[in-house]
Amino acid sequence: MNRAIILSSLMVVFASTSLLVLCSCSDIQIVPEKKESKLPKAKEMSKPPIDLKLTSVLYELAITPDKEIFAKENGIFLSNGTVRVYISFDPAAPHSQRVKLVETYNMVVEKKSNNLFRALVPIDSLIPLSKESPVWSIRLPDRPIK
Amino acid sequence: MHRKKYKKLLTLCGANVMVIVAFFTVASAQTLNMTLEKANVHPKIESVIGELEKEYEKGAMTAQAFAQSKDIRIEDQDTITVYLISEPGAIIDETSLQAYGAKVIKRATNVAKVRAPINMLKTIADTVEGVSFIKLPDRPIPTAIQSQGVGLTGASSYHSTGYTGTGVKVAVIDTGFAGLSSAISNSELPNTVVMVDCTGPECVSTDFPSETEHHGTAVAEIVHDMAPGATLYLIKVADSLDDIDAKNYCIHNGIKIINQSGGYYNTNFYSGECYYSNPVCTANDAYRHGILWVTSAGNEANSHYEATFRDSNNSGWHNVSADDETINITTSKGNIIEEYLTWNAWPTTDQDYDLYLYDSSFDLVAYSINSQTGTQLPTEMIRYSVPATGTYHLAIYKWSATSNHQLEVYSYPHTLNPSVASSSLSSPADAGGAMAVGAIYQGYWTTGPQESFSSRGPTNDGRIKPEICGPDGVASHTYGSFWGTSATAPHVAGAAALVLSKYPRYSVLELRIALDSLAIDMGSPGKDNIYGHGRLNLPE
Repeated sequence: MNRAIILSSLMVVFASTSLLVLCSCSDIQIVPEKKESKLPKAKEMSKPPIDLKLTSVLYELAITPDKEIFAKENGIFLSNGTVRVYISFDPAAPHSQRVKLVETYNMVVEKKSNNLFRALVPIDSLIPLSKESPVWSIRLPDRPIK
Repeated sequence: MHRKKYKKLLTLCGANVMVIVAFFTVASAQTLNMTLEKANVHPKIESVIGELEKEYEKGAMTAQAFAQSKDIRIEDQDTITVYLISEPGAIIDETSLQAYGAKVIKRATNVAKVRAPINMLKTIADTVEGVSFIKLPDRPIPTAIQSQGVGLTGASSYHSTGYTGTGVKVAVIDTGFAGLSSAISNSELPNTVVMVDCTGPECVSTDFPSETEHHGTAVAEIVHDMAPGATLYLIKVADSLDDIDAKNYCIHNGIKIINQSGGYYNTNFYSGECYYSNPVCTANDAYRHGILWVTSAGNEANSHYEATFRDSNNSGWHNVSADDETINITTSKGNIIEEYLTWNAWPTTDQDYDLYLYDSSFDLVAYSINSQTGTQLPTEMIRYSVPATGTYHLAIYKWSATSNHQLEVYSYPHTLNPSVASSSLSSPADAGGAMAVGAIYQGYWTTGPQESFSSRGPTNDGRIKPEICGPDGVASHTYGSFWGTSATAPHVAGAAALVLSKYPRYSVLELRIALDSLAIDMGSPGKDNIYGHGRLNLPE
């Protein structure tokens, strides 16, 4: 009788232990261990000034001292201190406003289709131009990939 | 008995006489015709030159068309290059030649190579001392390199039945046409191609004097292999606004087929949407004007990644997997890495993600941190010159977005790890108006599989793409072997020219249906996202 009680007690202990082991295993699966990111923390991230509607590579071009080298490294077309860009205008901006901007910033408009212009813009004008309200964005031209 | 034999002999002789008389009647009639034709041929001028002169009398345009059909090149001021043959010992009077506007290019014994006005050739033959005969220059017949695709697709059967694309204008829109003169002199391209440069403010005629890229020449070679009778327009572009000019040029010049072996990233969300004059707008507009726009599907099946943004540890960085926040790119020193990111917040957005590139030590080496504040495109792009061989890591950061967006990353020209083959089309392969072409290696043409890199559908709005597959890894004068969907699209464009030369009244829709329905189904039954309608096929 005693033997039977001891045996059944042992079985209960074994079953409980197995259950605990199983539970801890399933816990590992359900809640994965959090890995420390190798990448910087959010507070370390930065952006160009938010009021500039030009891409970050054009912003860097505008502020870098050696523009020729930077342009070459980034495949950017420069000509006599100007850079070839796409300018997207606010569709609601009147024609006269666009013409005025072209004149004010000494742009050479090469092509346009609807609200998109391809123009040579003096590099020094990139930042002030991007702050103009009719300008929606300034970016490098879309290039085909072969 | 003898009488009977004699009678039979007489009958036979009579029949023979009749046959002989009939033969001579026909023969004399033929001789008569030949004599009549010869009567109009100048005895000192090769007949084809005489014909050209007559066409020239009708007008320069008529002469140009005739010259093109006879592979004669009309040069500046309506001149052609000819050989002036002289009798042994005779000397050609060059002073008289000059007086007639002719210029001697080269001299050899009893022959001078001369550029002369078409309308002066008869006068030269009649009056210039020493000239005994005028003919076209003897030209070597090089062994042209022909794509295996011509035989594999059945184009050769069209050729043998006389359909070569004659009368059909095909444009090759591309970024470079270096090596054209070599291709032409080796008969890889026709003597007469129309060359147009649309990279400036407008499209202008050119002879491409300072080209460095050969891609367009290799593409044109394949179109010519497939449709040797088609008139080729080689149109240079550098960006998506040039494409619009090129398309308008094609509309105004009666071009019925456009091949563009290239595509764009970050001009939409790869759902065939037309935004801000992007390549989809251009291809769709060409289609509306009755032009078949054939384009490469892309080679990005291993260079494309997509997922919905997820951030399991709230770090701000996208989790590529549970344990990894970067997509890996292995490359060598000197290469250029180009990485493109977009997300489903088109056409303009205030949902802001950024793209970063780290080297193998996880030091930041490049980034694209455009501000998206409402009027900008949802795009980021990094270009980086690789200083050291190794594995680089691409990471996507959510700067400011109110939900988790679907992300699309393309890498040029590197493989991404992990990559997602599905929905890896570039644009305008995603356009409803474009015929996108995938790739099957020519050695596995009838069995497949599709090339592992060949971009696949569906588009992000769920349409099945590509439309069809063509062969790659084909013989090329320009490249030796030409690989990728850049090589497959011109097979389809050339095939379209053959079909159009056989059925010139076909609309663009009928032409597309013809190519789709003739294709041999591969993979899953019916149109699928790997092979489209199947492999290009032109049955006899």
